[in-house]
Amino acid sequence: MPELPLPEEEAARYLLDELSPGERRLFETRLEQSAELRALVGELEEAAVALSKASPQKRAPREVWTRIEQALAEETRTRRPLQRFWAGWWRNGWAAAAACLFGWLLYAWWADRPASPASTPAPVALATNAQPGIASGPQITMPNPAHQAQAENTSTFKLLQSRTQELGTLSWQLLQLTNRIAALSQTLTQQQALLSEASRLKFFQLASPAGPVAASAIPVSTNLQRALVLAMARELGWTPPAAPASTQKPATTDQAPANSVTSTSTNQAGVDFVDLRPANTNTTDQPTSPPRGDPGNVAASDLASSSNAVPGFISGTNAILAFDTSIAPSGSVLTFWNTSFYGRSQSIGSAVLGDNPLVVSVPFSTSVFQGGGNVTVFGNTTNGALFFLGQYSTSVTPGP
Amino acid sequence: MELAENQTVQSLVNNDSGDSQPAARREDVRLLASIAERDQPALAALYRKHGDLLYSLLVRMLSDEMEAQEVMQDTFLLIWRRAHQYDPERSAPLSWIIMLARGLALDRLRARARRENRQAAYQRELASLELETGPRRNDHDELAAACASALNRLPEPQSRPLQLAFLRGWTHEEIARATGEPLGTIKARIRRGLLALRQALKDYHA
Repeated sequence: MPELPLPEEEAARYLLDELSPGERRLFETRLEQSAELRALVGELEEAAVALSKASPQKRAPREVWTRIEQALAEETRTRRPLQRFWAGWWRNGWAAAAACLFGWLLYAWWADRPASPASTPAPVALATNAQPGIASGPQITMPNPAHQAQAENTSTFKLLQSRTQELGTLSWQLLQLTNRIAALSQTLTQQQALLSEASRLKFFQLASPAGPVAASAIPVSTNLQRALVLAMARELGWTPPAAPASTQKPATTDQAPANSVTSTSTNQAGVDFVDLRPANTNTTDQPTSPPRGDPGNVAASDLASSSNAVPGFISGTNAILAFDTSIAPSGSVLTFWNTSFYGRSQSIGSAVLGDNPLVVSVPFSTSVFQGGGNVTVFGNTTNGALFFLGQYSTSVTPGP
Repeated sequence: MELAENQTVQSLVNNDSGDSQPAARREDVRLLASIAERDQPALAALYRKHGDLLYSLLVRMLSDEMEAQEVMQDTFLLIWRRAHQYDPERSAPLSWIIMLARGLALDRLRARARRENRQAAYQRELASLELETGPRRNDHDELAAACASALNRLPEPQSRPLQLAFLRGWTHEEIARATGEPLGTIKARIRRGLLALRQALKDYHA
């Protein structure tokens, strides 16, 4: 006998309620689309009716219908008030919303109201001191447990509320600090990156902090302007470096710090160039004692200062400074100091200013964590006077 | 044979089986529509018309008259609540009612003790399903007699799985495990039993 086709099997399983929920949904979808499948199911339903009719006939007892009527009456009684309630709810939705709002306000008032004396729990010490039968002292009344519980609830709620507010404030402050640290770190990184770029020049002017005019407003002499342009050209490699012309040495030990280095001077287009960077200098002495003019020993404000600013620029890890006789008298010994972020001063070297404009290159650390920080320049005139020329420091400006 | 079956399918699709069924069916559809409109006399009319049939089926399924009465009550309450869901395009009204009653009865059966000894349970179920062979109380119902006769004429291997599946809610897998027969065989026998009953019904109406 041939096997029955799949649709009949599925239809029979559908009729007998043997399909899984997923299969049933799928079958019902197909049922809606296929008239033949509907007819097949209809036929099988007829068979089920026949099977039901094949059961031995029994007459349903009369009381079954009586019970059905009673159940219907009961259901109608419970359904009508419910229907009326829900109909009224929908009709009076605004009233319901207002009731909810009022309830919420009532709760808020109850939660925030001050504790009444009646609801304040009696001190424990007072209660423990009470002795039955002794009438001395104030009459002690035991707190109402309901009021006590209510007061405890209120105080707990308030405590919780205040703790939550504190936590919120602390979280906000922590967030602000985190943002500030991130901004500072970003700014520092940006500045270090900018300064370490050899091709990027950052211009500045050194001036005495006690000077009456801002450094940027002090005019620069024509000779200094020309010297700076030449220095830039050299720094950027536009002009070949000239051969060393002479080796400068301080005239007297008083004019230079003990750890001064010899510096090689070259002249190019009427401008003397002195390079005090480590690769171009030979340290003659190790520092023994802070010399006169050490910014660690002498306060800059105690010294005379130049009326003119020292122009310069930062190129990578170098500071290039230009001097001429408008800044210091000819023959002055210029000493350069580096003061670290932590206040430790170290001599970089010295150079003698002649009649020509002088351009001095000094190392300049852009990282405050690597000992860099600032460059300070002092001058010693031929008659022994010490004066302060200016200071350039790595400044970190916090971001917004 | 195939042509005749196709014609039957087509006539069912057109809702015209050429016998007295359409009138009874239209009356049932009308009653269900009225019940959906909360017409309690319509429910009473439906009860008068099909109450005995449903009660007979429930007693046969549950083998307990008191439980059958409870399920009968639940069935008519369910009809009252779900009449608005009935779709005449999807099924005949009497089939829909019978399937509702069957579902409630199966819930009762499933709530009973689990079938721990499948073989013993199978034999007990078969014994309880034995059809009455003596004179029937309502033999004036010729259609019911014809259906019973058709069921009696079915070979036992078809009749038993069909009755277990329809009247006791046994799944095909459960029957296959209890009888030791392959699942496909059980499925095929149940289909053939249903189709044979459908044919008997068709013959009666013809």
